[in-house]
This record gives sequence, structure tokens and C-alpha cells, in this order.
Amino acid sequence: MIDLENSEKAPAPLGFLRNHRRENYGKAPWHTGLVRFLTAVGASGLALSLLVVAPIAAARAAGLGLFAQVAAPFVLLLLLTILMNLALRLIDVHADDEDNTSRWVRARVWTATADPSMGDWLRREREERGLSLADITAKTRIHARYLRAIEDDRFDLLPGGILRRSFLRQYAEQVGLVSATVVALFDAYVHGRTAAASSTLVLVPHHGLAPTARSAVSVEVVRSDTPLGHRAARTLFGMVEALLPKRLAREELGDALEYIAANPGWRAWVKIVSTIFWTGVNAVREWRSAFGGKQD
Amino acid sequence: MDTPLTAKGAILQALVSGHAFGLEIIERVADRTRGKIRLHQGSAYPALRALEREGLVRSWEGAPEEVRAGRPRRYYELTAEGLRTARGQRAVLLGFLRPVTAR
Repeated sequence: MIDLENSEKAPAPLGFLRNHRRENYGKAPWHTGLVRFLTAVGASGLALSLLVVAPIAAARAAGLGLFAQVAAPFVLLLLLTILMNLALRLIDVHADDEDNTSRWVRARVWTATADPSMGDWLRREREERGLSLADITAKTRIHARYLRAIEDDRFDLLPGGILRRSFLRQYAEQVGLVSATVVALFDAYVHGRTAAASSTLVLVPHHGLAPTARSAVSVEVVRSDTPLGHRAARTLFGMVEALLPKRLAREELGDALEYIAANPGWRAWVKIVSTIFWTGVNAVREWRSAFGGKQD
Repeated sequence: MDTPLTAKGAILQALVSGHAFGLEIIERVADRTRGKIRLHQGSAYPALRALEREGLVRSWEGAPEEVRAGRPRRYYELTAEGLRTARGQRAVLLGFLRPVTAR
């Protein structure tokens, strides 16, 4: 415990947790590490048996074939993800009583394919919030000439390096965009890496909730007007991709996404489930022919 | 309906009219059989990879595409041997399907 009387600064909320840990650093009893290790092993074992071994055993007990047994953990994972997403969406809508709009609907995204000029997009975002360049200049002390250069895509008129990023970060903060994401997008844009930038997200912070965007360019989210099925497919395929051979993931998941983009509605959902199942099966076949020499 | 074609045979015939990627091949087969034969994703892709191992088709990747979340398409085309095989199979099928009364 910390001594409040003798502490120099007022403790931050929940700061005692951190202080407690810092004070006891290096003083933990010898068995603490062992207990933690065993807990971690136990937790992983439990997760593994619940998510992988249990569905396989269930499929085996039900007398299903080898492929169904292999696919069972995939299907369980898929169902869990769908349930979690549904739950999150429900919570999301109800948390937003003000105008009963999910905050995901308000997510703003810049994609190179929808909007060739990033500057135009930024200008529109600014104008929609009723901000003028003079407002931003007054707050940030950045000359309006530079702000105009950002909106006109004239990067040659901006100073280089850190200063340029700083300008853009401050601009984004004033407009209410996630600045780290805008800067990363902008870097990619300036260097012509629109392919990387096109699959990146800029979320508008809303109701004081931090947007869930993680580090910028690795975030893989789509335009907010994309149908739910397509968005779900991108997320789920991104999850199973790591389990599949690269060529198979690119070809089959990519083809499935194209099909889903062209066929929204219930067909998309059927395709998502069948794709996750069949890519799993095809991956097993690939491994079997690669390692066992058996050809289909 | 049971298909009278194997997946490999259908793919070879679909590729005679030019290179295509997986989904396009599946759609081409469905179009040309008026939807009667639909290649399944569980059979089409393993068949494509098997054909490539046998040297009847070759493949390459295109540019990454936004609609595929940055994944490229993989295009397939017939090799010279693949084209020979496709023509041979077509001749066999046509001969088999010739009306009996024509004899």
C-alpha cells in the first residue's frame, strides 16, 4: 500500500495499481514467477482444449469425416466471432442514445479508390465541421499557406520531415480526425503507396470514446457504406488468413471477397461460411500433398 | 444434376477462350452450361493447382486489389500441352456425343 500522507503528488486515479507494482519490484516472493507461469500454462491449455480439442472430439463423436473434424475448430471460431460481433453491435447502438446512430456509421474513411485526392477529402471533412482555415491557424499558429498546401495536394510547398508531419498532425487534431492515422495515411500518399493507404481507416472520435483504430497502416477497415457482409468477410478472412498457405489465402479468400462484393445479402453470408470451411479443407489437402506426396 | 465433366476437364475447356482467374473460371463454366454445371470452390482450386503441377496450365499474380482487401488475383492460362490436351478431350467428347442416327 502507498502512504498517501507522504506522497508528494496527488495519486492519479487507479495509480495505486502501478505504484504498488513499482514498489514491490524485485521484492516478490520466489514462487510468484512459478505461479504465474503455471497459471499461463493452465489458461493456454484450457483455451486450447475448449477451442480446438473439444470441437474435434465432438465432431469425431458425431461420426463425421476427417474434413469435418479438421473444420470443426474453424466453425466454432466463426460462430464465436459472429456472436461477439452481434453483441458488440447491440451494445454499440444502445450506448448511443443521443441520435440512436451507431458510431461505426459515422466512421470516416479515406480510400484512394473512392477519392483520388486526399487533400480534397480533408477539406470536405473540415468544411463539414464548419471550421475555416483561419480557425485552425488561430489555434495552431500554422500559416494558412501551409494548410492550403495540404488541401491542394501540394506537398512540395510544405517543409520536409518532422515539421511536415507536425503540421498535418495538428491539422488533423483540429478537424477531429485521428491524427496518427492521418499522418501515416499521408506518408503513404505522398510516397505514392496508395495500395497500402487505400485499406486504411480514419475514425472520427465520437462521444469521447477512443476509436478502436490501432497502428495506422496495419488497420484494415473499409468504407462505412460497405455492406455488413463484406465488412464481416474482410474481418473474418483476415483472421483465418494467418492459418492458411499464402497462395491459397490470396487466391481463394480474394476470390470469395470479390464474389461477396458482387453478391450482397444472404449469399454473402453463405459464401463466408463455405469459404472458411473449404479453405480449411483445401489447406489440409495442400499440406498433405506437400508433405505426404499424395496428389488429389 | 451429376456433371458429365470432371473439374479438371471443365477448367481446361473454360481456359481455351483465354486466361482467367479462379472465380472467373467458375463463372465461365456456369455461363457456358447455363448454370447446370457449377464448379465448387472445394474442387475448383485444388484442381487448378493439380493442373499446374501437371504442367497443363501456368499461373501468375496480378496487382493487389482494394475489393479483395489488398490481395492479388491469380490468373491461369493454358500451356501448349494444356491446349493440346483440351482439344483432345473436346474431340473425344464431341465424338461421343454425336447423334447415333448419323451413322
